[in-house]
Amino acid sequence: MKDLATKVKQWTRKDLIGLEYLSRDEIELILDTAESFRAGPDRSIRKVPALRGQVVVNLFFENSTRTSNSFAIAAKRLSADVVNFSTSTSSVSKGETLVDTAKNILAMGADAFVMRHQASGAASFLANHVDVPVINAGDGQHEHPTQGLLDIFTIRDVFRSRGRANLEGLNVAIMGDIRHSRVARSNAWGLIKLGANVTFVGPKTLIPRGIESMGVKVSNDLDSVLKTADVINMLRIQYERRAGDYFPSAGEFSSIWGINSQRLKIAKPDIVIMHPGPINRGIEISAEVADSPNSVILQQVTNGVIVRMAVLYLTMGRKLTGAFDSAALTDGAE
Amino acid sequence: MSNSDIILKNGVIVDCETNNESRQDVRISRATGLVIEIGSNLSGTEIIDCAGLHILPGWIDLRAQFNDPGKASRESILNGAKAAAHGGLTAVAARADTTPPVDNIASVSYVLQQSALAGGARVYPTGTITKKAEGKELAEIGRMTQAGAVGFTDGERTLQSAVLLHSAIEYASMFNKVIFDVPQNPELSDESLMHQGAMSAKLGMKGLPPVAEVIQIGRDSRLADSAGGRLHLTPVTLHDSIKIVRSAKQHNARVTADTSPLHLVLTDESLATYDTVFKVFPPLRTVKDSNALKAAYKEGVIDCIVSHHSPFTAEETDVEFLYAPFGNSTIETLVGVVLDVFYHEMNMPLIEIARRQSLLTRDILGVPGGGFKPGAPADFTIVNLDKEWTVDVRKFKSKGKNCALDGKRLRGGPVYAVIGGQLHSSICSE
Repeated sequence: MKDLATKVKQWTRKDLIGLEYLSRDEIELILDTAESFRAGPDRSIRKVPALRGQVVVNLFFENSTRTSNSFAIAAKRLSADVVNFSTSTSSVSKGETLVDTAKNILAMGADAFVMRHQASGAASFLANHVDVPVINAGDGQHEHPTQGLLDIFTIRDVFRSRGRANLEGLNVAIMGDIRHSRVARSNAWGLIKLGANVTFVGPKTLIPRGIESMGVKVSNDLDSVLKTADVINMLRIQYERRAGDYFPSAGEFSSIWGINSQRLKIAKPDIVIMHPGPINRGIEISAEVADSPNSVILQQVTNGVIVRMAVLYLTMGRKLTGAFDSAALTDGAE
Repeated sequence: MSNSDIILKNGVIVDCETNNESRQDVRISRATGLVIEIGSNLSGTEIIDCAGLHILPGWIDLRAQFNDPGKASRESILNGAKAAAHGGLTAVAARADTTPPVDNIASVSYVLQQSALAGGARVYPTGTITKKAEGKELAEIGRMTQAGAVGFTDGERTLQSAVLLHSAIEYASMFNKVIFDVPQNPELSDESLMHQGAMSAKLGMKGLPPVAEVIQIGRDSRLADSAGGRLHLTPVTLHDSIKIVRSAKQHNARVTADTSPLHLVLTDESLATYDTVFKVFPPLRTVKDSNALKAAYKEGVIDCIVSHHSPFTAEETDVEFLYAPFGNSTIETLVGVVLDVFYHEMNMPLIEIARRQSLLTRDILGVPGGGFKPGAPADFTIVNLDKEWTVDVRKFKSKGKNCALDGKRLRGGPVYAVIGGQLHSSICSE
């Protein structure tokens, strides 16, 4: 409890735009804070009154169920109020700009924005225009930092339980449509800062040239990557982003790149299988693999809530620092 | 306005026609707009002290978007002409892809009328290559030339149809007029937001592959060769394009090329913050490319530097990068960047730089200018070679403040523009 109050004081940023901009210490601070929110023995995630009276606005310009719901649940676990704003029902269809939309919502009394937007760079753009925290829930193809964080948290969890102190030297493969993936970019930034070896693997046309400059390795040979990978994180082909210019069909992807039990025979027996979701069963991942003991896909989702709690807590709690005392941060039920 | 003669006193005249630099006075008639005499110790009532300054033939800019008719809130011809003079330029060719586009003689006349009213740099109209700039049928190139159009351009993208481009170049050659071409393959460049490279990969934005420019220069210069006419590539931005341009010029001396001030001094690294002021088309490239462009200008493969002035309102640029327009307000930076990069950094002779930016551009358009002889039009760009100054968009006369060079320190800049005998103060006169 006091521990949480200390953590909040260590966080100094208004916004969370991407993992590229965070230091290793900042990333570990978020992950350690998430630990504090972990499920109690009755398996329910702790509810904490820290953000009572605060309003978190989910500003989603792109479709999402899992991320917006995950943030909403996280906010409510912190006792904040949540407002969901989706563009189909909004004045954006009447031509209102992003900045005007946000300022109008702010005028109603919002304390933070969680935004997903189709334009890369939109999160920092909004952050520069408003005084409240902006949490990037995905900006175009640039970053999806909370996904990166929850993936890293999950990896850290698994390997801690196997006795590994940290992620140094761990081989993490990220597979699929890297070109269009903000999840791949965020994962890579975070993992590299924590000392892991990251390889992007996939068809040539789906891996942008020059991406090695991030510090990743690139491969088009899935089998050779599988042999040495400790973790494989699978992405889906994003057909909604003109994938057809780059790749013929789901069937071809599945037969050449799909991960199934047969394929995994050459991998380490305890290779960790991850996927940010939603999964396309039978395309990038077989049902058997998705449901196998190696898969941590559902843990990723659970971890997503506590990681997002940590992010909301640290960014929004910053301005409430004075109001924290141990009485406000009680264990278990409200 | 006074109608007496002006004496430009004690400046160094850089005469590109006689290949001669000398300290002389110049007497100019405001009434006729012509040079009266060149000599020493000239006297008169209105003396402009040009000690420490160089008097160059008037610089002519080949490509600026004044958005007039259509979106005068971005600039207008009246204001653009003044901004150009403030930038030290004596003439500008205005882009034809306005709203509506300049594809008929009435629109050509409109631009000329506005230019005459503006009292700034001469604004020459260009016409579109195709009707409405739609890329489907030839526009009235002949009649527009007769009405005063100085060249032809469809705007921001290359003409997709090889048949039409070939035809346009051939047809325009009958009138000795140039076709301006932005050489980027349309399919490869579709929806791109920046240069394709390590930066675009990191930033998660669709990149324009370099090959799009290289193959288009290849195609379009060969078409010009076959058509027997004049083609001006505007702009060239890549080191890989330079050898193609060089080889094209060997086949066909009537291919010319330019690049923009931004492509000389900025790279795609600037886009790290997603600041829309760096969003231009073709996009900012890499250090290797800007170094190659500088060398290519010195060599003569790149003939001239052209502003590519494209101003936008603050509302239009203060949006997400994806939705921001492409373009920069550069007309007041052209002279300064050229002097800083080529006179100071690349050690090129001033007389050669001046020739490229005045006589050569004059000949591409087929307009008057460039001389110091008595009776010549009094169009001069007067510069201070050593003045150190900082680009400040708040001092721009252009309505567009979207300039990626804001804050940049330059050495050398324009002090006056003399246009038709009228003296205008330029950005370095303060």
